[in-house]
Amino acid sequence: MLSAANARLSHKWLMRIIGLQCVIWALSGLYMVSMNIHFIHGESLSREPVVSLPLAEVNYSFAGLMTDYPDASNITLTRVLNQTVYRFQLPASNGRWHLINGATGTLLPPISQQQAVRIARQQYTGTAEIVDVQQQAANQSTTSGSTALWKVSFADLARSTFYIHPDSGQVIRRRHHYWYAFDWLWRLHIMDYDDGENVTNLLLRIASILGLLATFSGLTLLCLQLSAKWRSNWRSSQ
Amino acid sequence: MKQRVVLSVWHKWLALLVAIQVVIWLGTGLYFNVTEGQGDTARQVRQTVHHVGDVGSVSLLPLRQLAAPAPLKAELIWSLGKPYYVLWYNQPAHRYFPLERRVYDAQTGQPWQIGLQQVASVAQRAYRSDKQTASNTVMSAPVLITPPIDDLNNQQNPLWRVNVNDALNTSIYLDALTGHVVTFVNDDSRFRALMFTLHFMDYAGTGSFNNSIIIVFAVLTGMLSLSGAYLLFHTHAVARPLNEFEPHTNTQLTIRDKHSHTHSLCLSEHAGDNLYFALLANDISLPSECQGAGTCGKCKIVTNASMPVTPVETAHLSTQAIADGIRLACQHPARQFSEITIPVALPTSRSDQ
Repeated sequence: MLSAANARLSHKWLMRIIGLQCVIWALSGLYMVSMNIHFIHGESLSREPVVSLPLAEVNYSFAGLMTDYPDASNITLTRVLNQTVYRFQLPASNGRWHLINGATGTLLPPISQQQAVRIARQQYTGTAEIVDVQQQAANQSTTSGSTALWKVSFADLARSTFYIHPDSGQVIRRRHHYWYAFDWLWRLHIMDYDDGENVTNLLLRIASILGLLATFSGLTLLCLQLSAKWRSNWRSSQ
Repeated sequence: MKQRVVLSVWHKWLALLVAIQVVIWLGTGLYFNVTEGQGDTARQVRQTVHHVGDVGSVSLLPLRQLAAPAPLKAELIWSLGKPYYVLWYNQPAHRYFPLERRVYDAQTGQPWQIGLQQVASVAQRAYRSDKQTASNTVMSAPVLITPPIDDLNNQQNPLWRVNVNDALNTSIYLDALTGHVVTFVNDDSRFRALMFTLHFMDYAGTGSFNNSIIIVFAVLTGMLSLSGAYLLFHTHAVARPLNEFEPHTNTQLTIRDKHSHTHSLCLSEHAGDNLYFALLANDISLPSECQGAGTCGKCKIVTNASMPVTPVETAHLSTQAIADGIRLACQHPARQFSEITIPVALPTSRSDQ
């Protein structure tokens, strides 16, 4: 029977089962919407380059590169540290990135530890010192294939860390405590506790259905209470 | 205890404000849970366009011969078999941020922007249609549109749009300068975008979940869930039923109603319930908004019996009212009363039952 007592009982029992997850949904959601996603991605940690390419110094041309490496793709003339370089991929090396000196046309070796430190320092918008530099073990890297990225950490409050690709010289991700907090809250939000990649998990489905039932019982209770209040107000005004 | 009463009132009013959105969050969340990873129909009709031409037969103009300001970055791209230089004057973190670029023909060095016919050609090549439908597929003429773009809320650059008359109303969006495909949108992806709009409360169409409406609602929902958790785990406020082995002291109750008529009631098995529910079981409904939950303070009765004042009563009743014998029916077992006065009228047929 639809009564306030039944609605209250259902609301309480359903919330005893799913209430904690509802609190987690609300608080993790609050964190995620109130923290700017670009800040979370560390975009504010890097400054945009301001130095233009000195085109007159580019002796090695795109045409020369196309002759030497006819299969090259995604060719970009850019700057790494203070050097003008070509960055491109070759299918022969499984799409691996390569750098060529724009002035001389010589193939550059992978980024060294000192260069990685300088790249991080050049891009970093803060003032903190570097506290740790290490090369990730290749098998730990998930998004960069088998490449061992340089990991440069700064001594700021959020422990800002730059991950630099040794082949391309690019900062390919930035992490800080706020990112890790976001990542964990995301996992709690979608109830996938290992890697946070499976939005379709069964646990979330069951929890969402229970959450909906608990919310509907609460909504029913609310409607019944309010209608009782309005009825009593109406009666007393008669 | 006063805290509990205050929180229960808050809980109710917060629920009134956010309940519908909570249903939307859970419903759209369930939708993502069920549909994520299922075939992306917009992607199914998209195919890669091979722009690269005969590398050996083109002669590229050296970049330094371009009559262009020095860029931050230069790219060599291909469009429909011809090479072009794209010079970048900013390097935003995302391609949907405003892009400052110039494009030059890499063979002649002349400024270049893709034309209508070429965009139509790229769109044709990018769209995969099976043999049966290919002859019926009609594409609209490309239109260069400027942001805001309905299908792509966060896009801040102008794009070409080509509409296809297929069953799902596919729209192909292409880069304004180079004609490279940016994305495919169809009715399925539009519906999904609507679900995201609802989940993120992005009613202003910013394309982001960092908007002030959702932040306000998230704060209110956080308060709602925390107050609910407090109410759930905090000691229950209403009088609990008596142990069934405890003898019932009073089973007969004399009730004086609003018109001073006297009624007699046999409580029988409800003597152990709290007075509010015991009366309700006998079809006597005291004024109440919380229906016996111990939060509204409306189920007032008057009694001569001496009984302890509960914290809920202290929260709702004045000292004078308590001294005058006013009590809340939900706070005491019915067996403790032998005579009460209630503020409602009872039918005379009940008299001396």
